[in-house]
Amino acid sequence: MFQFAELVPELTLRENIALPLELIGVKRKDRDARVEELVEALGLREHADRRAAQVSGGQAQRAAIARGIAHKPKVVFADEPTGALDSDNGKLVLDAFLALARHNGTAILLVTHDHTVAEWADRVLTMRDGRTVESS
Amino acid sequence: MMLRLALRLMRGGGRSGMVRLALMIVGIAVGVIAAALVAAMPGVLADREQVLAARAPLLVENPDAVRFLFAQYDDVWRGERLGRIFLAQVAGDAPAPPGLKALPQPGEIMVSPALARLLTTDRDLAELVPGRVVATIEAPGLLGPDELYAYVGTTKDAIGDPHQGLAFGSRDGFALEKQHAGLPQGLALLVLPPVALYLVVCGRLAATTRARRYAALRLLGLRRDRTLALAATEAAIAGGIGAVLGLAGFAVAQPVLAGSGVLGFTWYPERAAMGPVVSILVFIVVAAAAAALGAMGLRESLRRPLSGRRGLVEPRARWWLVLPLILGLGMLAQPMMMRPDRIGEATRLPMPDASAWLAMAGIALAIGGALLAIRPLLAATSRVLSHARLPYPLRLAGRQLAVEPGSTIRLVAGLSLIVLVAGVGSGLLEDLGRRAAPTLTSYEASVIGAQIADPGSREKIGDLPAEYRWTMQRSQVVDNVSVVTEPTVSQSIDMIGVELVVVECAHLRAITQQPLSNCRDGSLYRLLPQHLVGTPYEIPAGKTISFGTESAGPFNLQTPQDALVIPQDNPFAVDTFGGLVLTGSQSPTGWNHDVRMHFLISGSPGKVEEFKAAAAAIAPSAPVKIYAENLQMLEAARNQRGVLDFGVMVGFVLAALAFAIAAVDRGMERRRSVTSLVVLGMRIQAIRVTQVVQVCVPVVVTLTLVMLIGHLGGNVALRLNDMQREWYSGTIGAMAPLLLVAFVTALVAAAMVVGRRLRPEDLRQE
Repeated sequence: MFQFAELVPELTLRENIALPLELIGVKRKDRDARVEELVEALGLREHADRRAAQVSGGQAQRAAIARGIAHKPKVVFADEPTGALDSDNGKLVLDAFLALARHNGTAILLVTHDHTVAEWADRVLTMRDGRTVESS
Repeated sequence: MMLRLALRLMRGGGRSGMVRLALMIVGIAVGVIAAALVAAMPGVLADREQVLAARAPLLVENPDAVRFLFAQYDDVWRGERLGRIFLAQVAGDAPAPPGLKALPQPGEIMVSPALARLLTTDRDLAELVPGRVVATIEAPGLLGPDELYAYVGTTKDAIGDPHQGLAFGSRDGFALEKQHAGLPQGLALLVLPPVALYLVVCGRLAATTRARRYAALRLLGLRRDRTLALAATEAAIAGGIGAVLGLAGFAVAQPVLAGSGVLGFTWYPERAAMGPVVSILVFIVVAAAAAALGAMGLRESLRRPLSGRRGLVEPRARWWLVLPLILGLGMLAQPMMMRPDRIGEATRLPMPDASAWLAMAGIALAIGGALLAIRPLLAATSRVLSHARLPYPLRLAGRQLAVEPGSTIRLVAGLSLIVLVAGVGSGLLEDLGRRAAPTLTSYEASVIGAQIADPGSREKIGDLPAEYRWTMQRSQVVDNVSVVTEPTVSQSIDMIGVELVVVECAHLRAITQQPLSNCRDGSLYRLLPQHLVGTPYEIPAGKTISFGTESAGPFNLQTPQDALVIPQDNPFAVDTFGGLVLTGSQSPTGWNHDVRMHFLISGSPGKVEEFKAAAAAIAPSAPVKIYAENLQMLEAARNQRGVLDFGVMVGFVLAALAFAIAAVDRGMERRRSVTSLVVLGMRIQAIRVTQVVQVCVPVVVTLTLVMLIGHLGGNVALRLNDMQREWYSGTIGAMAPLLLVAFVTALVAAAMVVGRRLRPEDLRQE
């Protein structure tokens, strides 16, 4: 997951989310179902058919997160995934991560400066100037 | 401060910034070279006119003022123009023409350097330019280094029909050589639009990145006018460097072009050299244009510096834009569907008739219509490609094409126009070339007896090597004989007389390819074109017609009852309304010197030159007219072909370069996007397929359209001039290499957009 959304600007949000599933050969029906599930979970229903270049930064970031977890990876590396989001949208993203971790057993490795986000984690490593200073 | 900041920004752009800057500078330099070459043409042509005027002999009527006698000839020698002036000095103070210090004496020749070289290897040519080379003509007296020109010294008795000369240099100026008419305009039309397109592409390199950077400066508090000035300064620096490089490139390229003859003629490089004042002006203009271009397009982003988001709204396809193309194609198809004989009749008129104008309008409408139709055609193509059931690389290409058609259209249009010009132009040039120098199975030549001073030499002309020969003389003015082609012009025709032809029956049968079973040698016949038989316009029997003789009085012939009927279209150079035929090989005793001797020469290579050389060996100053050769048209065809070839080549290279440069720029702009796709798991090959499809599909669609119009347009040009009854495939031949290069350029440029080394870190680095 990138710090910035890095969506394909010419595709709609729905198509962007479906892209990794298409790349690994998921059948169309299953693909559509999974995309709908993520669109719903991340609050993108109203904007799903708009092009990535036409949505706000927060909407694009949520779509990028949906795209990143669409194929249910074993590990997710996320660099400040909620940095560009307000608290409500940030919560939607974290909920989606938790659901993925619980139902799919995915490990989420997340970097953040936000302590409220860190509180959601099972394990927190605090780093300062490149060195781990605390582990809880 | 502005200059320092601009330089700092230019240097601080990193590797990609430096690459773009280098592309912009090189692009401007190439554009300056091309534009300067075009701009040099009017000067080169004006210089040619000055030389023509300076060496034109000045005629004089007063016998006391005559300084020299002369006869001037323009011939074609192995496809090259050969100029000869036979001169005989009659006064000791005869002035020298430009490029020479004195006039040649009898037996001496003064020739151009190119002719001097040719004379050492071409023995036949030496017959046309007899004498000992005593000097070579210098640059002020020549049109160019490759010109074949000679001053031949001789005696006044050896010149058959001399003019009286006073000096060299026409005081009335000199008319522009017709074969060069339209050359600068044609070249400008072919080269300048691609130059403009190219410069716009170069000027807009990294436009998005630069706009973002200037918007950031604006947000930092830099005033809007100062931000614009900064952008203009940055562009002006690149423009100035490009102008200097371009001027240096012109200094190297111009002499190469001058000596190459690719435009159909050569010139002395120093005549087109650019002086310091003009160079400084070019520098200022290019830098100023670059500055204006650099600031252009920034106004909107500076007015609203916070609106960084791109819309990517799919433009609406206006389908009615296809209508002009359809109409143009219909107008072009119309002459191709008409029966060939109808077209022939229609276009033998001296001015183009309605169908010719309609076809010309059709070509213009189809070309304009094609440019308008590209957008809706691409919209349709992108819609097909975006279909959900297609593989994702194709779908992605369709989407990208749909939302960003503008840049693609600009570039494809540039390439297409050039290919189109090559197609239509090849048809027009083929037409001109065939009329200028038709490839025939035989050629007709004539020599006028009046221009051969020596009676003994005149007798020998009849023995020149030819397959068939005949002699002609026009009668004295004929009264009361109704020999007319049309009633309205009967009076003027009455005044000029009737042609008498002396020819053997065997030759006449061979020339006209008619059995002429009633022809017997030693008889007199009326010669009647088939279409006039039985009309009031045929030469009547029983009339007395007078012909002049050289020594005795006129001899009279009574038109006989017997007639030889020949078809209307025949290679026999007799009047269209016929004449009289005296069969046999002997001309009437004492024919006057107005007689014309005609020869039919085999069309085998070298036969025409052999004939000319043999005629020159008998009488060097005898002008030989080859009817199929048209010097001016031949040179016009060569010049126009040169201009078209050169213009198409330069224009095409510029358009292709613009395409490639824009593709590289686009690759840099899309690097982050491509990298993110790779990180998501998309294979580089698949991304490359997307780019290739996105670029090549419009190229293929447009070039197919262009090929159709070019082929139709070229064929219509030939068909309307009655030069071709069947489909002419040369247009395809002219366009095919360009089409291939255009496609390969697009393919390579598209593939270049996706680099090989893509790293996820690129997403974090600019």
